[in-house]
Amino acid sequence: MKGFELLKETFLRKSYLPVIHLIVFAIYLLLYVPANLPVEWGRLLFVCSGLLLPLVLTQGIFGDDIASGRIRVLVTKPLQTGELYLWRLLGVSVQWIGHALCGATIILVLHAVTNKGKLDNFALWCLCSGILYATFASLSMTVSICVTGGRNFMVLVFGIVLLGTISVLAGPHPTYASDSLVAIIKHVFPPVQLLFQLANSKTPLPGHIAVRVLHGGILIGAYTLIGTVLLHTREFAHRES
Amino acid sequence: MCHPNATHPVIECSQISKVYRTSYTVLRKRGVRALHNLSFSVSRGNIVGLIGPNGAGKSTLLGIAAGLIRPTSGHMRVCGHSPRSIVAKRELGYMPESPHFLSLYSASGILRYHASLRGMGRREAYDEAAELLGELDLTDVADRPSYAMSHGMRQRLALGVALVGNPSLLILDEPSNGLDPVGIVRLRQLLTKLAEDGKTILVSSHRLGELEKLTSQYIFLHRGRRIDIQHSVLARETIQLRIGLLRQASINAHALSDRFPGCRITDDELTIRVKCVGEVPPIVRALANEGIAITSVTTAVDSLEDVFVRVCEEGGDS
Repeated sequence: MKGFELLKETFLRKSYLPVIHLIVFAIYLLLYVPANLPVEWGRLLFVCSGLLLPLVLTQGIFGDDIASGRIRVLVTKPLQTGELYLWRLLGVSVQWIGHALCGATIILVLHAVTNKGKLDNFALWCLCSGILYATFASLSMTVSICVTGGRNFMVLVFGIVLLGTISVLAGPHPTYASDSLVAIIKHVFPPVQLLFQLANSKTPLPGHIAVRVLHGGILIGAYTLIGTVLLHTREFAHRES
Repeated sequence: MCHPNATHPVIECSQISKVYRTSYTVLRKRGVRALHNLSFSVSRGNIVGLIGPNGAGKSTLLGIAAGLIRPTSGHMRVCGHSPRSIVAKRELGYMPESPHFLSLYSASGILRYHASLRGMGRREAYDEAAELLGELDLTDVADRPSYAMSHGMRQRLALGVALVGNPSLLILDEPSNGLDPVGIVRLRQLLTKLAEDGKTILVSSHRLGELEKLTSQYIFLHRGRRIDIQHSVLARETIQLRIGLLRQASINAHALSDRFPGCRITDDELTIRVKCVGEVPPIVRALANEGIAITSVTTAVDSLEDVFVRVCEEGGDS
């Protein structure tokens, strides 16, 4: 019952969250309307559900509670802080599973009916989307404990822009410093580019898949651990009235 | 577990100090001292009022007792355990000053949510929510989303959230905020009943008149320190002696001021502060013997609010 309520809360905490899912489904549907659209559906799922969805679904997941003071009531309940963090991570993960199942069903059914677009490596794209989503979600949740309100969204968008900018600027004339910086960001940030390359390759080796899954798993574990420790050690002071 | 027959106090606070350090104060190697060597204990079934001016450290103290804030030094025990422990949290019901609820949840849903966080099953959570809604007079709005509730209803709901799971210690931060007069009376009756049932209540409030009706035990904080009002202000002149004077009477105001330092003299009234009622007859007799025409004599004991204002004006020096 406790777990169910905490899972349910991740879906109902903001009134617009169910609408976000519907908007993404509408995008899949609308892309079938134009004739002969050369869309690779796996790639679209990767961008929509792996990259954008976690940023929106975890926006202010702890930060809103901290800003409103609601966290002060939650942490006085007989709950372990790690339990609170893990149930919320599980809640947003369950949302992704539901979203991916519905999204994949829409794509596969419409593809079967209209035969538009491509379904190359679709299962691999789904796997990579899932890893990316969970890594981004755990990082976003951890950031959300440190920054109040929904500003974790901005922090992650800034990280993505920074990674892209450094990659582009350092591209023609890579230096040791820029290479090192990109390598560090790639290893601590959700592995967007690596997963993209993996799902894009024609015949990925099982070893490569395992390494990427392991990499994602380590990052999820690390962010979860950091988030739990931060949540446990953080004080929730209130301004004197 | 806070057993009814347990001998230890429900709250035991020993030499608690709290210094807040921000990045600015860390750089300057100092912080903001919110509490300074505070010690007290609260026994089972008592209602203790926490009073003090803004910035006195009330919310910090409540935060430490609720396990939200760590003291810089000293220790706090709730039912014999650390306030941050799960055992202590099982015994604790906390109501913040500004409650906030998820907007999509109804009043009943919010109570069920908190009941399930306390480990209750579905049926048990439903029963608990229904009982609390009835007790707090919220049954009519049980299915109304929290955003559509009035401030007073939200305040009562927040009290309901604190009461979920029948905790033995209630920490309430400004519980009467936004309540109408009937709501305030009902809140007082409810808290009195809860204390009679053996619950311990630590309540912070700026409504001193209301607090005075609820309890006679206070922790008076001023600049992070506890002021013992029983042995400071109350031991001094807390009774106002008002002597009505005949307007035509010739009064030597200067002489009276010398005789009763701090007295107030108007055309028809002399107000003197005395320590006890026993001092009244000799004063009246002496004034009458001096030929001052007295029309009336009344006494009034200072209210908690009067004491509060006096302590604050005196800067908390006791």
